[in-house]
Amino acid sequence: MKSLGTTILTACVTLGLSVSLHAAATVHCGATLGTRFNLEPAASAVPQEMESLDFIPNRVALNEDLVVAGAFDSRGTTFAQPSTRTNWDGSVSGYYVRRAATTSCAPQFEGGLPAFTANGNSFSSNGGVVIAADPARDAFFAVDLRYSPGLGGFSAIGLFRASSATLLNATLCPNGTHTTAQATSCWMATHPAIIGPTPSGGINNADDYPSLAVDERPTTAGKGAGNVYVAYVGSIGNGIVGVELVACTNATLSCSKPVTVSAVGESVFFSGASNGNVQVRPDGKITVTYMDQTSNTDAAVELVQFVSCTPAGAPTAPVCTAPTTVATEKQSFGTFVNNQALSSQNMLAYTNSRHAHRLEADGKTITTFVVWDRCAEYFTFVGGLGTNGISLCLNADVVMSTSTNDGASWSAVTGVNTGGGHQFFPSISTDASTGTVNIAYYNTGHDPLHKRIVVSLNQIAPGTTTVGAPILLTTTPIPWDADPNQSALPLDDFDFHFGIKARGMGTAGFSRVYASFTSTGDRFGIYKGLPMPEQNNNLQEVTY
Amino acid sequence: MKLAKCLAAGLLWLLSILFAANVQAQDATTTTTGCDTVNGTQFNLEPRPNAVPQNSESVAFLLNKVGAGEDLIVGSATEFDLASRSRFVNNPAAVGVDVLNAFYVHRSGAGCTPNLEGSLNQQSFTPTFLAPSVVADPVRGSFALGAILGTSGVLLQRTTAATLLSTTACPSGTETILSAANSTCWPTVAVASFNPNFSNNLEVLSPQLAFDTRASGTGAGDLYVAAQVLNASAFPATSSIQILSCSGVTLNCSVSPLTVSGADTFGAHPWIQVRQDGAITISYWTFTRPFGQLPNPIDIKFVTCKPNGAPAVPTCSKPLLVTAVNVVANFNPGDNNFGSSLFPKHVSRRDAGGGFTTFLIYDRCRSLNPPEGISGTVALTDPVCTKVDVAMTLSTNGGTTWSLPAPVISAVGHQFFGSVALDASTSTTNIAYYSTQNDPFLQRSQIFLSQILPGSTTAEPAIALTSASTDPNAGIQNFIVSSATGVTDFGDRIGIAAAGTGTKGQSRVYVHYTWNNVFGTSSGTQQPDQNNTLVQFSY
Repeated sequence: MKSLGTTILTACVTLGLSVSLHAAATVHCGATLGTRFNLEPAASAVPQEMESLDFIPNRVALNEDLVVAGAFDSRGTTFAQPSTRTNWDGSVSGYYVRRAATTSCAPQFEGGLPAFTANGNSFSSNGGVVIAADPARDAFFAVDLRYSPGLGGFSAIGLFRASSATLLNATLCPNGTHTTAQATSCWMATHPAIIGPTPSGGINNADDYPSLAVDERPTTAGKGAGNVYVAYVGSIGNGIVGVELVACTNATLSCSKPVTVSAVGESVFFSGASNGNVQVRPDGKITVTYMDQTSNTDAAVELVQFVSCTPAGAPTAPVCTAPTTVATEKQSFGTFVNNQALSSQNMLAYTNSRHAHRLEADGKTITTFVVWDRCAEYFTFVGGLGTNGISLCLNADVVMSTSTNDGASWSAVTGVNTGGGHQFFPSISTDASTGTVNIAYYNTGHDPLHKRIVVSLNQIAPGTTTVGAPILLTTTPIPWDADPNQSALPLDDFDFHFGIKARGMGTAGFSRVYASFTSTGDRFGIYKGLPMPEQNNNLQEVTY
Repeated sequence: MKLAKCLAAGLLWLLSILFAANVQAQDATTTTTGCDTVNGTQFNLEPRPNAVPQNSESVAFLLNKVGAGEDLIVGSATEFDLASRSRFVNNPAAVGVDVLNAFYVHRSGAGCTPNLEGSLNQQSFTPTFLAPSVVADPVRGSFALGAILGTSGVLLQRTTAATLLSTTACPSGTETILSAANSTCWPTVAVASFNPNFSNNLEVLSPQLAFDTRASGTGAGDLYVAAQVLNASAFPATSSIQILSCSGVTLNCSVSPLTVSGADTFGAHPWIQVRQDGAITISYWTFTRPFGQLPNPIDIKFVTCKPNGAPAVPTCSKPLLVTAVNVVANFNPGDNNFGSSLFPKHVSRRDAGGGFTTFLIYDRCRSLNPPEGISGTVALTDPVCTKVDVAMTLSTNGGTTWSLPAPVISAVGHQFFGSVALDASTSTTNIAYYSTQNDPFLQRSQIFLSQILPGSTTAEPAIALTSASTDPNAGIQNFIVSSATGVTDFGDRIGIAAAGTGTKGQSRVYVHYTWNNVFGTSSGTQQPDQNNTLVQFSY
């Protein structure tokens, strides 16, 4: 997103100076807030949240990346104003694409992942969008939650594929806000797949929290190369909730049956949320982390679990080991009391884990980094513990643990950021080109009242497990509750993740981290003719 | 050498004595220099560990009663307790008793810090509830304090400036409800009964006090108590505005209250004042349709009463319409997670011609933004208001006609919790309120003051009394009380009082309000804590 001249100049300087793989971080989408990454009109604007994103470097032009983000978009909900719904296709699974070589970080088009039919049932969107790119095969994938009213209601996961060529095609994917027909032409060239359809019947019978990863190795690299993996939380029978993993082919989205990767016969959660996070190692192994609520009497104690799987080549399911425990987290947080988990943050929030892998310089060792958020201090003076033993958290931190032996053993838990205020919702991504690990999270420590949020980034330099100093992806603290559509619905505020992805060229200054997060600071919406802050999915780009 | 050392030591001792005497002299003559102007001054003595919220303030003061330029200030506020473990209860047998109100007194020293504090005199442990009110009578040098007692009366207590200034009768520090000081500090205690027949179906809400501060005339020195009386036996429930008159010295009150809201079926949030001619004026709002119906437009009403001398109740006019309001009475100021209500308040200024101009203000929601999916099915308790302002209307004919309501100031953001006080010495009308106008997100509030000068009916440019802002939703107060529901309680009012000598520069206005910027400590972690806070402005 920088000019060609700048690029060439930077490249020359870089080569001339033979600098290291790591350059000072520079933000590009507005240092204070990032850039609003949707095209929603201001009038009666509604919230976006729960972001995800990925990108293919230089796919638009030299140093101009093709960026695809996803978010829950309330334009598809019933409470959106009619004027807001007019130009939206009714989907709550929003996608937002930047494909033009302009100085702005704003997207060129957006839309909602469309409804489609599978096995005779129509499946419509239900949020939970996650995006993954596959640079090797020049394609993007999106998963989301799906719902079908057929047979009394099905919960399922939808998997979409769009090639970069399609996303760059102004006829198939025109600029602007997509109609249903435009969303279909943009995302349905490959028929989407339905994964894990489950008859709905309450929280323990609904698929939830999908996660997505692509084996980005060249197609000829070995078994599983190019496969697409989807992990999600869902019913595994008898009212038990487990973590499921599915392997799909890249080009046709032909998927395996789900394989349960959480412990046999064990429910991973009793209340709240426990989302599986799937990643693919540089050697093609598939890994999943998740939080395991060990009992329904003390949900504060959770196991951070890790599973390693060997690819079998989609649509054959991978073969997975039994879960190993990264850490026993005795101070998780969750929204169990008065719809609030973190002090001054009246919104849904749960401890969750994310992980990433890094191939070390020896070409063999793979270091796995697992991050999660936890409560350093509970409020227990009088309010007491809530149901399931979790009380209000006064100080949340982001911590991590590492393994160099595929999860057989884990390092002691160390802090990523344990400063004042809350640090929560960590996301992690390794820039494989340099070996730099990037960890981003929300941080209230910069607000004197520990309420308003900035987005912070910590980097771990190649070859080390030492967390570097925080970098601010946004500098203006924003309130989580500034959107007038949220006040009456505190349960519908920020969810427990946002998107981050790092990729690069292997040269200092040419790596970038994109983050897509929730913000209320960009502009005012107009409500009944009067301006008020509104909630958006934002984008920030950092180069280093 | 020894002699030199001895002389030097003696000189040093002499100097130290002189220096100490000088310090004491300085202490004795220190004048009030005003409260902190960044945040205001925390107006309680609460320790920081496990601090609890205070809100819904009231304030009264006696000008120069401590010394030249130093005022005797009494504030009151709702002070929550933690699981019925109020810091004003030091008796284990009393654990479980709710103490929900307190007073705070500044009587010496520079600045605005309080010297003593305590709870209302409720030795029977009958709980008193929410939003106490305090008033002062400068002619008689007295204060009166009132709060709801049980469900059917208002606990009244009176003291004098001399008593409050006595460190024997009112020791510095925190008075517990069983301490001797609790009785000696507020020696006159009575109950104003709005439910003389002790009906279980009646409930007293939102009591307000007003002194007749005249030196002479029928009613002079009397104390008036207004309250909302809810009748739950009717379906739908009804509510009326009732008043009592009490002797300002003995607190001997009317046996039965007088209903002043006429045929209005649901009067709420009364505000009572006494004009400089002794007439009693009451404002309130009422639903225009039976309670529970939707929509239910609101009328703001005004009543004028003639005093008959306590304990006889006054003789009152029928309620006169001030203005109609077509938006709900309770709303969230924008994206804030707490409620504001329109709560009309008024003062009457004697004009040069001998007549009175009555200024009535209320929090006005211009428009709501309820999500369609919700508003279509249920009535929201506190819907999101896209713009709250402090609206003002005025009458120069005793409330017969009123001007078109208009904002006290035109500013972005929300202006709310408007409160008004008259400085009779200069005929200056003071209006204080929160305003979010300087926050980019229109959430964090400063305290502002708008003044209407003598002879004028328009407000001068607003003055920011606090340079910092506070966030009503920051902290853990929505969890800290045993009945917490997760919704922020920012109270429903702030207090304001104004008085002067009539000389320019000798008038002062105090605003007593809720502020979250002083942290408490909970489980070893610092968290924003809701405190009653005081700021002063001189003019």
